[in-house]
Amino acid sequence: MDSLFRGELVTKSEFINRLDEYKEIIQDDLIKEPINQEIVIEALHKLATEINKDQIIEKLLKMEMPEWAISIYIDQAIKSIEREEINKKLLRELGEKPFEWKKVTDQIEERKYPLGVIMHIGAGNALGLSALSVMEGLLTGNINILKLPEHEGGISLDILIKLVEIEPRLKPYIYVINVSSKNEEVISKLIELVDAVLVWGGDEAINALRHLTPPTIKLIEWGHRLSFAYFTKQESYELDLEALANDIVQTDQLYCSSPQCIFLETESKRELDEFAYQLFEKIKNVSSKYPSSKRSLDVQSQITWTRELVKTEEVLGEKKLYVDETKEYSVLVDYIPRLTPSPLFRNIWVMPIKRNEILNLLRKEKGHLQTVGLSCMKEDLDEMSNIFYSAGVNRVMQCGEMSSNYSGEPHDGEFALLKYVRVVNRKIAK
Amino acid sequence: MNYWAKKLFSYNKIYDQKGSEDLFLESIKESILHHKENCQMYKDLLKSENFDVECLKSINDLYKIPTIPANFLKYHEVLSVKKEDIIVNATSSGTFGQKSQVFLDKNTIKLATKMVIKMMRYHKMISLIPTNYFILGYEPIEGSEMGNVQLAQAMTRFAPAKEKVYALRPVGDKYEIDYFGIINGLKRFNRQRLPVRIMGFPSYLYMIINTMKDAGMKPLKLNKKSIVLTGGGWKKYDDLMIDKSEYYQLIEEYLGIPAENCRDFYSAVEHSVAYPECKNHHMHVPIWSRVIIRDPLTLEPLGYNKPGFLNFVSPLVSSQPISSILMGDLGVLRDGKSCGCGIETPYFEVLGRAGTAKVRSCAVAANEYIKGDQNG
Repeated sequence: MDSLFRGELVTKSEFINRLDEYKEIIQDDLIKEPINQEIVIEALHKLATEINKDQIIEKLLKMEMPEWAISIYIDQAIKSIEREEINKKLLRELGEKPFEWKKVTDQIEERKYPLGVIMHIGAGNALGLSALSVMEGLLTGNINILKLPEHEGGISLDILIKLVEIEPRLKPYIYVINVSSKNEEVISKLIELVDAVLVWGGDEAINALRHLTPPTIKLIEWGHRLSFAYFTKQESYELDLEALANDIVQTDQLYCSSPQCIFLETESKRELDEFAYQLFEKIKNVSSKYPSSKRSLDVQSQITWTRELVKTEEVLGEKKLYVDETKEYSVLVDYIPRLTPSPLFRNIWVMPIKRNEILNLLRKEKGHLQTVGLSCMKEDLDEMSNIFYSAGVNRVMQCGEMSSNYSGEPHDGEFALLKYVRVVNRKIAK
Repeated sequence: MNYWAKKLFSYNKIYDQKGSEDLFLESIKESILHHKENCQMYKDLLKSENFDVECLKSINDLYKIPTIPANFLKYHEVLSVKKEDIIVNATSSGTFGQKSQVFLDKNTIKLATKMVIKMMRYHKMISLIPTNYFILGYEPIEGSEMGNVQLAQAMTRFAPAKEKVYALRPVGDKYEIDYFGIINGLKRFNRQRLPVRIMGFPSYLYMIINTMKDAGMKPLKLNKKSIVLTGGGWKKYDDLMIDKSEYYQLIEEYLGIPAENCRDFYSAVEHSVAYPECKNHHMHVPIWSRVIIRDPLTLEPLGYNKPGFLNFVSPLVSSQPISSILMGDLGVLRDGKSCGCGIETPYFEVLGRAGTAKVRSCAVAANEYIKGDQNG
């Protein structure tokens, strides 16, 4: 059994067979007062303390994540659902007592209200992310239907099963279906009845959902993003390069906030080469502390393919390749700046830039931008961050902290929870 | 400048690698020296890799030749002949938009023509019976530079053409699949009872058969001498791809063409040697090239049965320095002796493209970067 129907374990075909019934059940549940936030918070907090860490670690190991990365990953995820963190998040994103009526004028009052039913289209890239997405839907009082991502090893399902075990009152708000993205018939049927579709994934997944979702249904998109680092001209880059090497190695560049390119303000090839080599040495140091995971055939071939092109172009003097003997990591130098995705896994682009070119260069990718790891003098921070915000970047962070976050932090420039509720109002007769 | 290559391409037994080994070795050295002398970039490449042709003592040394990755040709125009000597400029249909460019001179075309004729003869595809052609590709328009279009045209010369029907027809400034014309054409060919040759992308044929199925059309019984010649891979329809044997069975069932007359072939504009399947559907390596599979991490040669990058070594092309080209395709090489078709040279299987990894990441990845060219 790999699906949940109103919190109960069922098979996928049972779920599909009950699709006709589903409409009525959902309507019955919708009319009830939305679930009390306290119940959800208490259940999540309990989940954080009771969840079987070893079981998850074992699963993640099977998915070839390195051990050191797993423990960082799990600890962060668990901390994020503890009571204190959730309270901070709720307060920041929704304000105080969002679901109570507040007077706006004499006669008018407003409150937040759940969207209703949210369909979550999970993505297999961040393990367990789909479960966290459903938790956000629960915190905002919604009924949640999760389409499980492929290649996730069942982690999200396990977590949600545990959650309804802890708090059976959450059952009516959780549906999980393990159906392929290609099964448009079932997905369309599910979408018909929801108030919003929430999609995690790349451009391709988002495009597919835009086609499947009727204009009357809200589409919330959490797409893939591209991040980079930026160095203004300075006396020494030592410390920030070391910090950046940590960002690169510890995440294997797999987060949307991980750097894929580094720009250095310079017009000198020699300066750029030195900078790249310095970074290469820093990555070497950090990599020795954090061994990389085993890479699959297709991941490795993608990396090699990019490096070979760079190596050949080096003959023409257009690019330069720094790669270690075991071919674990590399710095790819391109003497012409362009925002290019790197093949990830400790392979990073380095390019020269002039300050007056950045805006134009970044605007070409405006919808993809997320974080910049900025290295500059303190007095340049305003000018630089202004350029980046204008280009479409949302986060300006320091090197070494590109992927650190805090509870209640906006996600891609928006408060996520605020997108899962609406503001309703009413006028009271005198 | 291609003394040895001419000899190699005149050699008659096209799968006798052992017997032609010395010719191949001399030709490839000749090819490398030619490119080195006429292409600065190649000269620099050899220098940066400290390569000297004298190290090529036997066929086992071919892996030492520095490779050029195929996508290099997408961004750079590198020639080993004068520009005015280029007579064919072929572009690939580019899975991700960016098109590969290949420039061919007279010498290359001459050798390639010899090669194709020999190959078609070997595989018994030259016929004098009038034949109806059904081309699963673009109807040629003036000035078309796409390699597929040119190849498809050339391939209609091996049996006299009675009629040619095209699956993709120009509508305004783009091409559209002409389903109506296709189905009518097939029915007409079915009635005429002449041999039919179906050529082009395999995915299109698959979709056409599915359309027939969906429309409840009765299976056709095309002339038993009909031939299906597909190439170019499934491209953006990779997710539709079905198992080879299932695919050929479907063709046999719905078109009446025996599976052994269905031959897919691997070809890449960046390489220009074509590899048709034998009757057992294996792509054997002919005398004009050698295939090396390289480790995805180290690029060291791997031998049989291990997956890695496809690397082709061939003296065919004199216009561009691609004596040894590293393809973006992953493949595996098999010992050909067990095939049983009569050809004993190794054969390779294509496993997919490098650079389409589905990475567990929320970072924008190179391969999913959708720009304006989703239909690439």
